[in-house]
Amino acid sequence: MWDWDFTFQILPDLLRAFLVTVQATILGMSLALVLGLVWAILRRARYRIVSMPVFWMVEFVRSTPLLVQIYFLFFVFPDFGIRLSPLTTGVLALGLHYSAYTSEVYRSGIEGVQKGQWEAAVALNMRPWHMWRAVILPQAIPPVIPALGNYLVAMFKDTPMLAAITVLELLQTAKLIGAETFRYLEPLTLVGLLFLAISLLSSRFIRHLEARFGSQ
Amino acid sequence: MAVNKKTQPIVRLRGVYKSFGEPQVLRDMNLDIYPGQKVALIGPSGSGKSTILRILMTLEKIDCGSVEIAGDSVWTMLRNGKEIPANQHHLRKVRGNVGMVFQHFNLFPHMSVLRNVTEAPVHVMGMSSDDARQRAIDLLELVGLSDKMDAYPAQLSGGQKQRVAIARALAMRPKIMLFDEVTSALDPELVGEVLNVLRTLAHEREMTMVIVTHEIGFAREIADRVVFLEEGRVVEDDVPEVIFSRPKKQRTREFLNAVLSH
Repeated sequence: MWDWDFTFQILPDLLRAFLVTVQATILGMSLALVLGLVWAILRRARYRIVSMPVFWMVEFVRSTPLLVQIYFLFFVFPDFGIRLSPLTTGVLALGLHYSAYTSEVYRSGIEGVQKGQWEAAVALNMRPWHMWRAVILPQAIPPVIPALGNYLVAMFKDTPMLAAITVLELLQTAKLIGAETFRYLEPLTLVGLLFLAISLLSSRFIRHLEARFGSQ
Repeated sequence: MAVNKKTQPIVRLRGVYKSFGEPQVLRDMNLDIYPGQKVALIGPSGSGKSTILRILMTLEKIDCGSVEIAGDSVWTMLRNGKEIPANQHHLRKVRGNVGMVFQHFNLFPHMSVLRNVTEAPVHVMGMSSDDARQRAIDLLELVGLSDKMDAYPAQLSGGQKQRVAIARALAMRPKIMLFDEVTSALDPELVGEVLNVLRTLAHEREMTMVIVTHEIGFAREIADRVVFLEEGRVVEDDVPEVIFSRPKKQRTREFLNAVLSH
């Protein structure tokens, strides 16, 4: 059944595709980490005209499937003259989708900062931006780093959806190999093993994060 | 605008009402505090004394009435001769006159003692970091904590934390210092070191101090004016000798008897 020669023959292609998957995840997660923080802060804005649209956008993104969002960006954006590469579209979709979740994580971190800290910052006449940067976020973020790490792993496992818009990530590449050679066992098994390896590594990484930040 | 600092109050509350939902915390509160006064606010819990401090620090808005600090209305400002709601710029200007020390210290736990004291002078007042550092060193010496500059709040006792909090507030050079039950969260044996610092500060003639406290003996010792509040109103407002030795109001006498016999 299992053909080792074939396995070694397709391995370089799959490893290259694996790098695309890693790249999409890292870029998507970076976007999710930044956007999520922006949403979390804007949701606390004094003016409802700022906070309400952000609230509804986050709710909307969380209540619709990632795959729908990926298709939407890929097929509808070009109608408005926005043409992006499949990978860029995928990274945007992953980042936007996951920002809705990371914003909730940040929100719980921000709500965990004691009321007295905000009051002390006001009493010292800090400007809002300074207060966030120097007082609130340094206390809000460390406790939620493990939770953010969980979303990194989850995003990794969602990257195969980018196959739907022709991104040559791991699953798409395996499918192409299968279609050309009529052999699916080796490529798909390798895909599974690569995801398993990254998941094991990630969970060790998260346990490390929990040990480092979680106990504070 | 010529303001005579000797006769103009630095804090002026007029007809202030404040409620948190149902219970009325302040009712028609009128209070003038003059520059340099050391005012102790005493009264049973729920009498509104802490709320007055929080209103002066702009941590609470008022339901109606007016609050003036150093001649400026806190919640309104003038634009083209018209009174409009205060914007953030105006609030920040008013706030610059006031510093506050909290019951639960509220030090920034992720910053060293030194940085707790220098953070706002550098980033709010624009002081150079060398100047801010020197001022912090002086203030930490004043509160007896020169040796704890590099420690973190978690490594300090409650009394030490509160002394750092006092240095942090003083570093902003406020004209008015508010002390909100600053010894209430401390173990009894640590109360003295904080009161000693307050005693030192009370010698500063320029500084206006408003102290909410349950330490009646201490209020008697350092305040030059004591205001007894109950149910959001001023019951009696006089020099300590009168309040503590021959109060005019029955309620004041009852409160003091209850506190002192406790």
